[in-house]
Amino acid sequence: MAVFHFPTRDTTEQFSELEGALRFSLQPVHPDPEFVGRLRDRLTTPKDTTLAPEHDPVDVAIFISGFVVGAVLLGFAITRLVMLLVRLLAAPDKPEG
Amino acid sequence: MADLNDDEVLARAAKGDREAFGILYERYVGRIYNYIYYRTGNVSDAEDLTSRVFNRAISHIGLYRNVGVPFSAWLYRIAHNLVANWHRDNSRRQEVPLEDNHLTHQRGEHPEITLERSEELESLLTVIRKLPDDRQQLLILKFVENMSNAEIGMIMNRSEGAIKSLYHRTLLSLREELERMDHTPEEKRAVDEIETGG
Repeated sequence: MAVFHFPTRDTTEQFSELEGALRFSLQPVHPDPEFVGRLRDRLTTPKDTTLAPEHDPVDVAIFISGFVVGAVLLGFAITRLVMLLVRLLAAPDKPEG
Repeated sequence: MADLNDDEVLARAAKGDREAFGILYERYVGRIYNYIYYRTGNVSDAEDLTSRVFNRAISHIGLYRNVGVPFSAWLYRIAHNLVANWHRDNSRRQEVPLEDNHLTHQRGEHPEITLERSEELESLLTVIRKLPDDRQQLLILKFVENMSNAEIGMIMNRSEGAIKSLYHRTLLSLREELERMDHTPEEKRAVDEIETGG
């Protein structure tokens, strides 16, 4: 079917006919109201927020003491390593032969 | 709150007021849906992408700054990017399902008129879907959304003059394509032969 004909008209006339066809064909559509309502609910209803469990003081104390003990041990190990290195560097070379 | 302008509602929405965002949603969901529907050609993808646009908007609304670009333009840009991704993911273009009641029954048109309109719609949409993305976007914003060249320019990030020029070129290519469609296969062959000098 030949829907749009632009036989002998000038460009302005052809364009206005085309614009009319576009205006007629490209009309707004309406989204499904159910979809619109559902999406609105999803957007406006706060998501379920699960509160983070409160920390048990005993757990916190264990965590802190573990951290302190770890830090002390690490400090001790580093000190020992440094001392060993210093001693090795300071030791006189063994005489040859 | 529904009486407030976009900027006032936006300020509340940016602070996490979901009801305020709901008002913005109500104001723009139809327009965004229309834009996406005509760009994708089917209801389910239009609904899916519309959801994504508003989900993205609500999660990024704190980043929106009104620097001469209205909120609506911001939403259209989100929609445009999502539609572009959708087209990239679905390398094939989808045709508008003409049996879809969506386009016809809601206006309560007479069946004969509806049928005639569907045929015209089919021809025109087929041609429009062959146009480059920016031209499709321009036609939808102009005719479906009824926007001015200046408003379209804000969304497409171009000057009003550039939009006017693009529109003119779009009409030219549309007219040429529609004229080509009107030719019978024999006529098309003859035209091709003349064009190729055969």
